[in-house]
Amino acid sequence: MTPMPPTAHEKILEVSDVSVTFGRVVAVDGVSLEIHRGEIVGLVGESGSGKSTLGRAILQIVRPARGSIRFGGTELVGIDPEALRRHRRDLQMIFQDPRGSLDPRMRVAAILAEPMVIHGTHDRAARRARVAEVLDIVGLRADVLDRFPHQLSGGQAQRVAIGRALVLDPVLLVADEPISSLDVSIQAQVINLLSDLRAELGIALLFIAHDLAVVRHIADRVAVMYLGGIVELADKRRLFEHPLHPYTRSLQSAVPVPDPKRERTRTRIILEGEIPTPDNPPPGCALSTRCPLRASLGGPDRCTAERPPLRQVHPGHAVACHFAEAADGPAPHR
Amino acid sequence: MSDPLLALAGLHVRFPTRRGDVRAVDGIDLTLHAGETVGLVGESGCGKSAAVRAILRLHPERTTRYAGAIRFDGANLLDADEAGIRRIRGQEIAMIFQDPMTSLNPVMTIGDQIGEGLAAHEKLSRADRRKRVLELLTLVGIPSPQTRVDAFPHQFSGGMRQRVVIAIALACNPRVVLADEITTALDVTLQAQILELLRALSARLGMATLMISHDLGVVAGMTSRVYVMYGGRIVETAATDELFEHPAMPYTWGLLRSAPNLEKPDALRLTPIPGLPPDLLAPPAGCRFAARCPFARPICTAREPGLAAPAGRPPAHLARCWGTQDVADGGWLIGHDWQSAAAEEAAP
Repeated sequence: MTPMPPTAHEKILEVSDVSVTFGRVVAVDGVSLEIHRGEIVGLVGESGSGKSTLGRAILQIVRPARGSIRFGGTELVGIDPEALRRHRRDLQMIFQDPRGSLDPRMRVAAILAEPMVIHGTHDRAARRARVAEVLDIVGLRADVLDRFPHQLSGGQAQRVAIGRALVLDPVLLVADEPISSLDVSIQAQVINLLSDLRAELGIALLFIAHDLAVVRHIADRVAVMYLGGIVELADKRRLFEHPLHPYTRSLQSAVPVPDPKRERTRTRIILEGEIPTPDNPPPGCALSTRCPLRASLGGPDRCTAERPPLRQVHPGHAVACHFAEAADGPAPHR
Repeated sequence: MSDPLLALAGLHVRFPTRRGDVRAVDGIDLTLHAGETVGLVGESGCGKSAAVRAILRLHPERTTRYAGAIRFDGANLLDADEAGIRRIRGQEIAMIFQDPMTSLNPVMTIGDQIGEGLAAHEKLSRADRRKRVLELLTLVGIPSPQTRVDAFPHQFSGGMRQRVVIAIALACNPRVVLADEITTALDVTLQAQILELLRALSARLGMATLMISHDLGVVAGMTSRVYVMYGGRIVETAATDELFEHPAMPYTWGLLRSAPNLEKPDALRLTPIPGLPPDLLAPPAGCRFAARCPFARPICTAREPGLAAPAGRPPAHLARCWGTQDVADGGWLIGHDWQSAAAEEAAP
């Protein structure tokens, strides 16, 4: 029997009980999440769910008020700036708006080489060679090197942003809505590129998105966030075929399917109202004010009295709902 | 079928620049009948918003050239004078815009904004106008309208703002509603609420809706007919069921194969469309999609195909593709199974 390689199933990121506050607003409220080497985790939620803030907290762009973020064994919360800078090589981020995240006065060649200059990792010749390699990985031709960001299409600009994130050979990429500003046909290019990066380079990815259908194509595991907390976390198959949290079920049922006949027969679980503001969250379960499951159970008091912990209900499947078992059944979109 | 309520006939919308005219809309025909909801799909820059804005002549007149006709109620809206088009705007044909944040005036109460159209088009007393505004707020599902009517847009959430924008559009009981990417800026659970609302309102008020969207899922659920636009042209049109089941144009295949679908096997690799849309300053001579089409043959770049029924499909289904037309040098895509090709490419 061949022994498992030492890197497999190695946890590279451990987020434990992290909270991020902005004044009175609790944007992220006690979130725990692990990412393993070479794993793709999808983080899904709507505006105001705290998903982007969590992504930024992992990179220490915003500082958590509480909790621990261990990356490759090092505690990042409260780390001194010099040490953080060394870790940033291994931990990179891709943003939503590719053009807005590229310096408009720099040519592509300089943009791609900049991380190596900042970190002093390569000499001039080695930088040039590495830029050529990365260009090849992200599928761009050498003629883009002399262009400025405004001369690139949206898809090309996002490839450059991905290339810049790859140049220092990171262990983990945090991608915050990397495709939502792109057209459908271009989105597919970027999704495929990101899954190839994992397959070929073994890079782990935290893929933050509002779109469940996109996450389903790329992630191994999926975490669903609502109002600052993770409400469901499961292996992808399990989450899509057997969702248990009422929010996940309603989110799934709300995604339109490009099939007119199915659209006519599907039942949607429409959530009443809107996501409450995080400066005044409801007591107990954050979904209690809108929860269709709670309504169908006659409004049990436990939902407003006690905040449901994220508890394991099945190996590889955790849910933050007191009555998750009552929701058990096939996925609502089937 | 009865005469269409709204018909675009050979519509061109051009924006002159120093390098020549940008042909944003390059000769399109489109009809909308009373009470129906029709979809117009395509990617950014295909001309769908330019075409829809032309219907109400919302482009700056000095920098826009129109040709062709926009027939509404027997008159050509392109010939209407300023007063004539203002009578149409809001009262007969209303528009719901994409971004509820920027399409509302931040310093006017929402009640005043909804009443603005009524004041312009209908002779109502102040009290009757307020009554109608409250009715409209109830209609679009705004809770406690009596207190909300005097609030400002910033006091509303995104979903509620979009409801206000819909109320403004419906204020004068328009016969046609133009909905331009109205849910694109919304989260998916809010999108479901707004689409449900629009569906209910269409059924109840009987207005015809032209729904512009890049999201094939939204179009599948909301419309009975669809037009697909590419490079300033209509490249395919059919009844919604027919289009999604038997798409004929490789561009439509590309759109369907690149869109993630919650109900397709998740191992299926998405198939992107390679390349970029054509430059509308100098569109290519042949088929506008030929440069990106994996099935293109020499005829495709030599001559542009007309919109014609693909072999074996009903006459109301039209596609602009030599491959699906039974003509000399054409027809090589007749019977081609677009979905099985996707499966082959998905295999490692």
